[in-house]
Amino acid sequence: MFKKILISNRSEIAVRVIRACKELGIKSVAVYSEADRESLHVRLADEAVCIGPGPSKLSYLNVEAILSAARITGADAVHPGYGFLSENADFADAVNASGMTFIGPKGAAMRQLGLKSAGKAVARAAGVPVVPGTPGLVDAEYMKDLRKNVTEQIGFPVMIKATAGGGGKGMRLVRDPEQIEAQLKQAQSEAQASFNDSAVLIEKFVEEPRHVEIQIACDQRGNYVALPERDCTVQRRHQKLIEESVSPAISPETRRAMQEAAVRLAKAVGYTNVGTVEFLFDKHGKFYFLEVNTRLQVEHPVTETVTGLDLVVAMIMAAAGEKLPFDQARASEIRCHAIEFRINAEDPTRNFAPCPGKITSLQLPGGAGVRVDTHIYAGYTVPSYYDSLLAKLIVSAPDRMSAIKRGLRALDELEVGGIHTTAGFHKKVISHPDFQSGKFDTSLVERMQADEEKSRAKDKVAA
Amino acid sequence: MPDTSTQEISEVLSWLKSTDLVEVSYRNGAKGFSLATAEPGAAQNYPVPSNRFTPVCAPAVGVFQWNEPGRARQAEEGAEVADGQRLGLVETGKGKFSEIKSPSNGRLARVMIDGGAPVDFGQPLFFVEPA
Repeated sequence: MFKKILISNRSEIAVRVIRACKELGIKSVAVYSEADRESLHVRLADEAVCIGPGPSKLSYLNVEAILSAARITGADAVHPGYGFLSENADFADAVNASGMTFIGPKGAAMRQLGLKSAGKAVARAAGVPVVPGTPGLVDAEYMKDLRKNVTEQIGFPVMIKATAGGGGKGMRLVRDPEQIEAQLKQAQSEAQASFNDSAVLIEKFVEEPRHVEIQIACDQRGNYVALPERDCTVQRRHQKLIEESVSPAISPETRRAMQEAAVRLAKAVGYTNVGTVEFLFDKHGKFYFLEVNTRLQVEHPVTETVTGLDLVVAMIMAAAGEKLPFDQARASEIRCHAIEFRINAEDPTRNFAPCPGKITSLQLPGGAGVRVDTHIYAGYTVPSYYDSLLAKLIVSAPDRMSAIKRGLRALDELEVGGIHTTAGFHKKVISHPDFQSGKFDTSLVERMQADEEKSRAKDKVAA
Repeated sequence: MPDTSTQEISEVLSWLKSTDLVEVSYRNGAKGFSLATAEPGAAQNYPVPSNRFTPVCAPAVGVFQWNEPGRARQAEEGAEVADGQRLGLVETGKGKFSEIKSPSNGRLARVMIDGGAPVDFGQPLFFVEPA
């Protein structure tokens, strides 16, 4: 087992890993930028090394500085957390090449699964369903029998997407087969006008999608385990806000099918350590591979809470060459319902604008079934250099409705003085009838915001 | 901000002071404003002697060396130093060095480091008394 682990990260995830180290009797080394001198991870670690100035590029993304810090402190392993260098295969290789152990998958597996296009190819080969679409760009050959090809190979409704796209330009939703030729031409000319590139591809339009992901854990002895799913459907602009486990939309049969698919994918590349296979789940009950995150996820505590397992400990053990501390049967035990809220330093009334500043007072929620992972404290100044995650509040209860009630209670207890947070927004979401019924898709937050906008406009007219 | 009042400006300023930002500007058409805090960036936690000394800090995290292997030490406490003169090196990787130079002509008043010692980024290594 390792004697000393350097955590090449900051904020709550650095604190999370330091706690696991302490419980395993392993010494921890924190690294920090000049902007993070006052951060909690610096205080909790056994040693701390300043690696550079505030901007991430010069500190938390500075491979040479991190390796140098590991060397001077005598660390024998590096935990990357999430974000920053956690999915950088070259960094993983560099850590391993310098005689230390990278706590995560091998660089080769990261390269095979990390990139979206590469991951999709592996998934297809492993028999994992991917969103059907044109094999590549739509070319003259494909255009000849366009309607027939799309109907037979993809199936309506479909989405036409400009490959150089972004911001919805060159995107066309087509439900009616009669419309496909005309819409394709329009999409191509729009793409040509916007991006100077008319290349488009066609993909099946996934209707009313939910974002559901499977946590996997694998050791170096050939054990592959899939844990219960996390449902991350509550998103705003592809940023997850609330995650829960298990999903209110997934049946035990679908769960098993998704877990088997995730394990097939992991086995196909000889994956080691933890990872997450993300899927889209549509209103017809079908799931499609989206991508693999070759690292620990922000929302991993949801799975830890539901199963009563420790994923960071599992990562450290797997990286050290030991056997996973749980088998598939144990990992399949669903012991409660869990919901995580990402408490961000953002102002929901100003379009979620980041809101760094000094936290003048702090009251964290507590009591049964409440977990808070955070690096903040009263008097701490949230730096403007990094992402806005302040804390993760995880609540659990025997069933989903009780967990929602506990969430409302805990969010009520949370008081962060001096800056705006997303706590109040979470209360609105979980009070919404659609969230409570469990019948919603990734558009929930946008719909709620549109409704709010409308009622505000109405109030204005009335006034 | 057509009706910007002093009070609004002072509200923005007090918000600005509560953050680690040093400057904020706002534009709406031809109108707008820019504010900056007068205070310098976050002060270092290291003890700093009186201000006629200039601290020379580690430019990177690594191991301090007086010079490359086999080459003589260039700086002694109390000795005169020239602007740009090499004071030492931080070894950041195998054979990779980051040079530390004197910021001015003067006297190397204080040496805070031993050869072979690990250093953090920004750690004061020397104090130079400018001539």
